[in-house]
Amino acid sequence: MPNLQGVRRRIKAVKNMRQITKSYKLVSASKLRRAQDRVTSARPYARKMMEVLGGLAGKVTDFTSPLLEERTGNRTLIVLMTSDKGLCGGFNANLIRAVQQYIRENTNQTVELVTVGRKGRDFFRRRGAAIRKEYANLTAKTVLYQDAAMIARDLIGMFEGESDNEETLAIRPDRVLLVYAEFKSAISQIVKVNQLLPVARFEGDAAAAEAETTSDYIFEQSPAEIFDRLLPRFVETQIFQALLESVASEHGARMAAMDSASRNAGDVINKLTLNMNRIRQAAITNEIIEVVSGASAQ
Amino acid sequence: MPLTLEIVTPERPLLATEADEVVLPALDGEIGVLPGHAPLMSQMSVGGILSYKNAGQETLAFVSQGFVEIAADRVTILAERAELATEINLEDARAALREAELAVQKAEKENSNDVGVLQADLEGALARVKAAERTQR
Repeated sequence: MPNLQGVRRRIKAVKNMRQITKSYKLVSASKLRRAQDRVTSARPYARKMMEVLGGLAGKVTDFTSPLLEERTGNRTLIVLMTSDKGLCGGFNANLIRAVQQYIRENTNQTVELVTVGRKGRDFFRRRGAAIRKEYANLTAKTVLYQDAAMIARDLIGMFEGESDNEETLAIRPDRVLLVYAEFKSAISQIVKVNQLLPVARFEGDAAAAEAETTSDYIFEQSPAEIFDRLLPRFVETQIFQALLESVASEHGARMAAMDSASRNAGDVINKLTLNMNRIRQAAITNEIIEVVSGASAQ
Repeated sequence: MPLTLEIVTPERPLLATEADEVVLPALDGEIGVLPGHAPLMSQMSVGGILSYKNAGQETLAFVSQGFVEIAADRVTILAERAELATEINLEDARAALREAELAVQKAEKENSNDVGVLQADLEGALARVKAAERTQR
């Protein structure tokens, strides 16, 4: 006969777990709200940046920058943004899968990785993939713009670097892709694969440029100089935005995962309770039979 | 028709307002903007005080690095950092200024290559304190 005591103990254990997942869900919910606020308040800057760059590209046609240089080589650097912590459902798995899919589909390319966040790093390190550089714990507290700027500097350095460094065997990537989870809503995150470098040529907003009298546009510094400063800033902004989106997505994913875990715990408790009642009933029935048969034997 | 002034930072949009006059710290010196200003594009200084007047009322803000675009009476500032003078914590700003001073002295003693960068930081910190002092007196 199954052990009544044991089932009771299991119910208690599952209840404890549900308590934990429930509180974790609440924590994620409040973190999500904050992260979401930051994403939305950072968007205007990114949008303005695009406007200014687009407007400038429409006015200046003969600029060049190393960051715009399209190369035909087959070396790709993928920047993968994952979370540092787990317990967030398929969040990291989805991102990692996108990278693996890219590698599978582009077998002619040499792919190196830069990982932001522990989960992606751990996964690819176990599989012995080439990790060029890794960042961790950037998203543990509030995401700082300086961190994004630092990553951008490193990436630009790699992209512009010496064609190949024989000593360190470091390759110069011909393009840099950014893989991150875009925050759509608390329950939906979209895996995005964006090209970071070379910076895609801006379709100069010709109409807007024409509307203004472009001839008397005053440039305090030469347009080329301004462009040179704007482009790295643009890369930084993109990384910063992606970091914020990624953090919000992580909390959203965790909230959803913990919600379903809590609900699942409830189901398990119900099943176990039913089981327990059955066992109890069986024990009572057994005792009655014993009493009755004992009485009739006399 | 008044100017439209907009300051955005990577963190948040700081300000969107109308203004009759804007004085902003550009890289090569201060620029005063009145309605009807010619379209202009410039980098911003490492750290300086921006002021704008709206119906005679002057407001100060600290802005650091970034870009400004003036077009069709719209002044758009993409600043790396920006704060309204009233938002600045004066004690924090003073502490940051002292730190920056010490960092510059240390770098000068060691003949480090960072002197230029640190001096720029110092200038920014100084502007921040000044902005706060001028409004919060």
